[in-house]
Amino acid sequence: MVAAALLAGAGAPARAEQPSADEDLPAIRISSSGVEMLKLGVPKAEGDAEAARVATETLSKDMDITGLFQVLDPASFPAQLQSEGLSFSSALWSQVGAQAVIKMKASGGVLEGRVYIVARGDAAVLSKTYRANDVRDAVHEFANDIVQSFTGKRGVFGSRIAFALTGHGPHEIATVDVDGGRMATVTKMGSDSLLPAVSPGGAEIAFTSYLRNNPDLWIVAAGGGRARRVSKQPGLNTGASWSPDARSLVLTLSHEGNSELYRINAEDGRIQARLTNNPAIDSSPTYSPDGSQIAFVSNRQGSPQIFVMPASGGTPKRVTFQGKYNQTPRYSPRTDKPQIAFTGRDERGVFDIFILDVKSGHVDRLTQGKGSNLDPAWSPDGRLVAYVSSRGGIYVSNPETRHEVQVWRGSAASPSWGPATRR
Amino acid sequence: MARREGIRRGSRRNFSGLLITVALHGGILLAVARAHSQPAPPMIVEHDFVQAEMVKLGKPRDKFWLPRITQPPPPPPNAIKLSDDPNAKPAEAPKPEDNNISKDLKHALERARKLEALAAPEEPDEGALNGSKLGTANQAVGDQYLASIKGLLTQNFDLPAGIAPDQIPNPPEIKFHIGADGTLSDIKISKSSGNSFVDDACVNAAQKTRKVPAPPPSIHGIRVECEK
Repeated sequence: MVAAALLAGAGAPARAEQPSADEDLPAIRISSSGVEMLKLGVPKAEGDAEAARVATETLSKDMDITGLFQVLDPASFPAQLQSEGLSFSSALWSQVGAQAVIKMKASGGVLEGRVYIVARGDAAVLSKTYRANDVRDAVHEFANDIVQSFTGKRGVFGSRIAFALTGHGPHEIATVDVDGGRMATVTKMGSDSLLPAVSPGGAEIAFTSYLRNNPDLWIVAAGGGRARRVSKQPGLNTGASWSPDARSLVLTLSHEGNSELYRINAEDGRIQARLTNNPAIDSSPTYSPDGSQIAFVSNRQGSPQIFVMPASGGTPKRVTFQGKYNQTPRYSPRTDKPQIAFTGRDERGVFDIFILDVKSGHVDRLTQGKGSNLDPAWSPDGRLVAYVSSRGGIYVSNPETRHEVQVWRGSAASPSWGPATRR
Repeated sequence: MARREGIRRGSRRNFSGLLITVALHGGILLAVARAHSQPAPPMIVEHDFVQAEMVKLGKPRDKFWLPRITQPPPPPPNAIKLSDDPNAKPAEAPKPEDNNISKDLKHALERARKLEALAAPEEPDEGALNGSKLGTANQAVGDQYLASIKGLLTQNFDLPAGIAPDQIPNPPEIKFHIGADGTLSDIKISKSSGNSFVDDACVNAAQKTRKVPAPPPSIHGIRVECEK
């Protein structure tokens, strides 16, 4: 009946004639040829007109940003599906090619959300009610639940991305929702401010400002307010990275003549330790998620390359060997997968985002052929990367599917992605 | 006298040599006969194959350059399909372009042109000097039939995005029956991974494949393990 993997020699009984155990079936092993983006239908939400419009737009954008779903164009849905309400008919939806469908009803500060999987029939696989003053908060929360139901891990909606607003006039620090909504200017320095770094808890943002005619390090509450000057050494006080316990910062100081890395107290800016000592330029430090390592840029071997050293200082180890100009390293917050995203200039002179697997040394490319892309920032769960592009604004990409979405259209520089907030 | 003694001793030595030779030959003959009378130990034929990567023909990439994303070869262009209906009307010709385009459209076109200019120019293909024009492909040698099925299934096996490897500690396994014409049936999960999306993707690989080349007489079914 079934092919025998064990072929006996001469005189063996003809096993192939008898039905045998499944274990004797010839076995092969296949590995995925790629990742598949689930085709998702997000029909117009029910409820109050304005709230429903915001809910539909916000959820469609959120789903797009995850890089896990291909959000179907609602223009392709027949009228019958648009007027279905919160109920669901799997037969109709399978005709438009949807594999999953999200239904919402938004009215009076309440959002009802339902998730249907077309292959599983007409019953919702997730049905939940959310209450929030702003429907966007409810939608982001629903989006996180949807991501969790498909992948087992919650999404990052509700977190905010900080960046330097680089339009006309002095550059200020601003924050924005992951989907580009609700932009808020955090600083009112009236003088160029740049390189924001959101603290691990998300309460504060460290940045460099030229307000006192020197690139000093300042800290401001993430919700805005008066900024306090933390480090004012003569020369550079730039590129700060918070330690995971938020008690100290590692940054570049040049008060001793050369750009070196120092650890300072996050409260009063007192220098705790000098971490590098080399005639070359050392800059752009980034803490590993467990706080044990620091990656940074140094040109000590000629061209700018990424190095990793123990957080207490010590001998740095070079980790990038491809390309002649690698900078702005950012350690992924994932402890199960040590990765460093960085900006690299390729042999054609184009800047793009690359991801280094720290254990294997393998470098993967995230962006290519679409202008110049720089300054990567990991999402708080380490599954998405935000960066600025010469195409304008901030983009977010999923390294697994390389699906990218423009989340902020205005001019921006050096994003830093704050932690996910749980309401 | 002494010479005769020597001869006798020599012939005795010859006789014992002959005995040893006869005994040895007898032993070999016996062993051969025994071997023929007993079944041979089972021979294990492993359904395993070597994978050969076919690389693109071109100049090898400098190992000190940053990597590039390699695109799969483009699908062949759609051939023009002739209608079977003898009374079919000819397709409508595209309408001539409207010259009175709106300001917005003009603006959008200009922006699109600018974006296009931003894109990096096409450069010659990279690969190996002894590569193939078609580019990367998997070629399996070994069990030809299983290799061809593996190729077909792999093409149709896409894991849902976002599934972390730690969520599938046990790769799922499916089993199916292969009909005489190669049609797949009785596709079912024989070992679940614990994640229904991953299980579905594995089953889908076989369902999408639907039909494989007609199997050799010895093969009627297959077990497939799907890993990330």
